[in-house]
Amino acid sequence: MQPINEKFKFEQSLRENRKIVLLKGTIDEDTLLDGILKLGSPLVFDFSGVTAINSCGVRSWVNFIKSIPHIPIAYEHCPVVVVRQLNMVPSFNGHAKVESIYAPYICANCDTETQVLIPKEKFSELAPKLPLKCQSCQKEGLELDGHPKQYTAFIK
Amino acid sequence: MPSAQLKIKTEAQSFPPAQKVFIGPITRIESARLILQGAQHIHSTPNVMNDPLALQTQNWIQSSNHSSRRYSWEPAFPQFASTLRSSHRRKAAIEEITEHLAPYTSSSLKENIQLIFEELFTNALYHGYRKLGICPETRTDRVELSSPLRIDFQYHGTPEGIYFSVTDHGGALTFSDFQRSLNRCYFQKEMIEAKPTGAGLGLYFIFETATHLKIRSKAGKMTQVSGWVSKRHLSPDFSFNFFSLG
Repeated sequence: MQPINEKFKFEQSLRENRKIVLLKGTIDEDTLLDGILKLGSPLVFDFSGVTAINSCGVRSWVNFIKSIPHIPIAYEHCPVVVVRQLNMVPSFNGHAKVESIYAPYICANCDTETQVLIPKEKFSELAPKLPLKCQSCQKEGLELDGHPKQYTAFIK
Repeated sequence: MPSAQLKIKTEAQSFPPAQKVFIGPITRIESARLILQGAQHIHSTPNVMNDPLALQTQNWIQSSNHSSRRYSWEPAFPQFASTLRSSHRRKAAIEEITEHLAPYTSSSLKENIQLIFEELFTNALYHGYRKLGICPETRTDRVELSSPLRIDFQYHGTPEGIYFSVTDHGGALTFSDFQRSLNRCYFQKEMIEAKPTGAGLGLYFIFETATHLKIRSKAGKMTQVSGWVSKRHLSPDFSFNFFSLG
């Protein structure tokens, strides 16, 4: 684990013979990203541990990505906070390829939210309803919290 | 509603009077275009003829009395109210808000509320009192407001959504500032990256996230940004109202 500040950390791990950079915490005005470059190329970022990004963090991340146009980049396991930025700030992914995102589904019975991992092959056909059981009440029927096309508006 | 206006395609229009209410199934980016042309009141709804919020706005404008009026999404007595004076207290304040609102928030709604308060606190602390000489150069600079300067904030949770309000008493946010923010973030995005701070990205996030957004601005006296975030993101309705109080 490479500590950059107490709110944000990254570490490299191996997943299916691929090097992954796990990002954890908050990306904001205190986040320094240059240390990530020591991890080599290509860069596959797993965003699942990112809990918040503010406007300063978005600006830092966009400038970081723009500074390494020669490095192939992929984004995986993007949580809702990251998908929101992908939709609002197109340069947030720059030349990176988005491989998978989490989509928020709400139980129609008890309102419990479930994050469902969506691979890129399914982005354009994001289901408004899923025949999955709610982990809380065990009843079947999850509804996407939003419009499928709006949630995946970042697809270019 | 004879005087309500449904105008969506705006590029070819001349500069509209600010005190006109725009009603229709208007998207955020279409709203941004209208705002850049001077529109201060927009109600996005399929209910063009009878939208209750748009009717309220229309009546307030006609009566020229909107300083103390409330929309239906604004609680008369918000559950929580507090004050912020230090940039280093932002995180603690947001944690407290999150804790109070936990019974009403899913994880994605919680993240929306945290982002809204963080951006509003930052804007109020770092820009709200610039006319009094409080102009930090970077967001890592510490800001401490001395009494009576302060940031007031309120919030209220319901099963349907969350109300928020943040007020500074410096009164620095003008409608022109808001227009510049949307212009950069919707139409000149390269400026977001070029400008180290103050590009208006925070206001843009709030404009994109809030279901209803109301800004009251009194030059040199006060800027209040309040709004509502629906629990579910299914409703296409949203509203934007900027009231200049002189």
